[in-house]
Amino acid sequence: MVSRQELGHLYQRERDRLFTYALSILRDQHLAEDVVQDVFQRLCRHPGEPRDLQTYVYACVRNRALDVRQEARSRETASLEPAEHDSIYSFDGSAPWSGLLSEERARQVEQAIDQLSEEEREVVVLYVHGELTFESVASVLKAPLGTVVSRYRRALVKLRKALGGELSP
Amino acid sequence: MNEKDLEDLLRSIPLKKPTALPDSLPKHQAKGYSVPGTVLTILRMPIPLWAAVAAVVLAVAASAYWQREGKTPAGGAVVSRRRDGAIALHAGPSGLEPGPKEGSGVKTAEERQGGPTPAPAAGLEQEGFWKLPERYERMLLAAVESQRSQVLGRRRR
Repeated sequence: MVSRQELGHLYQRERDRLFTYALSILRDQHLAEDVVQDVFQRLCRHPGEPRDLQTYVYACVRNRALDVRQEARSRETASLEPAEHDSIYSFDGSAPWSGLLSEERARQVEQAIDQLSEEEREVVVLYVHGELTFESVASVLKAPLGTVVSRYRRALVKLRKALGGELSP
Repeated sequence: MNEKDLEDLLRSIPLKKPTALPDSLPKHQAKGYSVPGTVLTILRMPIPLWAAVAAVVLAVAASAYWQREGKTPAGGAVVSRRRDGAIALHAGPSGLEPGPKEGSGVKTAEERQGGPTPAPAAGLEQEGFWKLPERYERMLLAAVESQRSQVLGRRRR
């Protein structure tokens, strides 16, 4: 059984990455925060005995985020109000910017990522921003490893095209 | 732009940080049970009005019963404590019917005619609290019988 201490360490280490992943699915900062908190609260009550805790927590966040998104979409359909989308990137100047990257270029990247399919975007976020291995990504998504790798390659090709550069094979 | 450059480009963009998430998990899990919480739960418990009224009536009746030692209840019954400490409940004059007072030497109509005798006194501790309704029933019957005997006695006279 997972100890509370292990959970605490994992939370401190992965909190921001899990939030980014949840935000990429939900596109709503407050909902994403709620999902991460909710998952850890549940894990504190019922820790379970996962083989790989990190992958397990990512999968929990994914499942919970998909549920919440489904509920939110039902409400949006009922109210017919257009939903606002939060980006996973920070453009409000609260985070430090790399000197080589302009905000305009960052906006282009964001738009390019938005054009990816949901499955491709998920792989990119988990692999690039979540810093998971392909094996872990496959485990979180419950997809074959080859499928995950090919999705990632396809996503990079699309991004390269959108950003106007050639991608070497 | 190769794969590595593209990944570096993606990683170079600052990510949004959570603002409402705590920095660490709480050290202690919230207690599942607390006395104030239990009291509050009981106070907030939705109780039917009739049950609340019934509970109050029962409480008042029980309280009145235990405080009534030595007083004369309605119907003429007298509650007294015997030497051995047992509470005795026996029929007595209600104060409403005309008749001689105790110890005056004048016999009442039912005494002269051999009418019903008062209910025998018995300790409540021997019979038990749950026998009280039965006792009241007996006392009421005795009172009714006494009134009837008096009326019959007057008619005969």
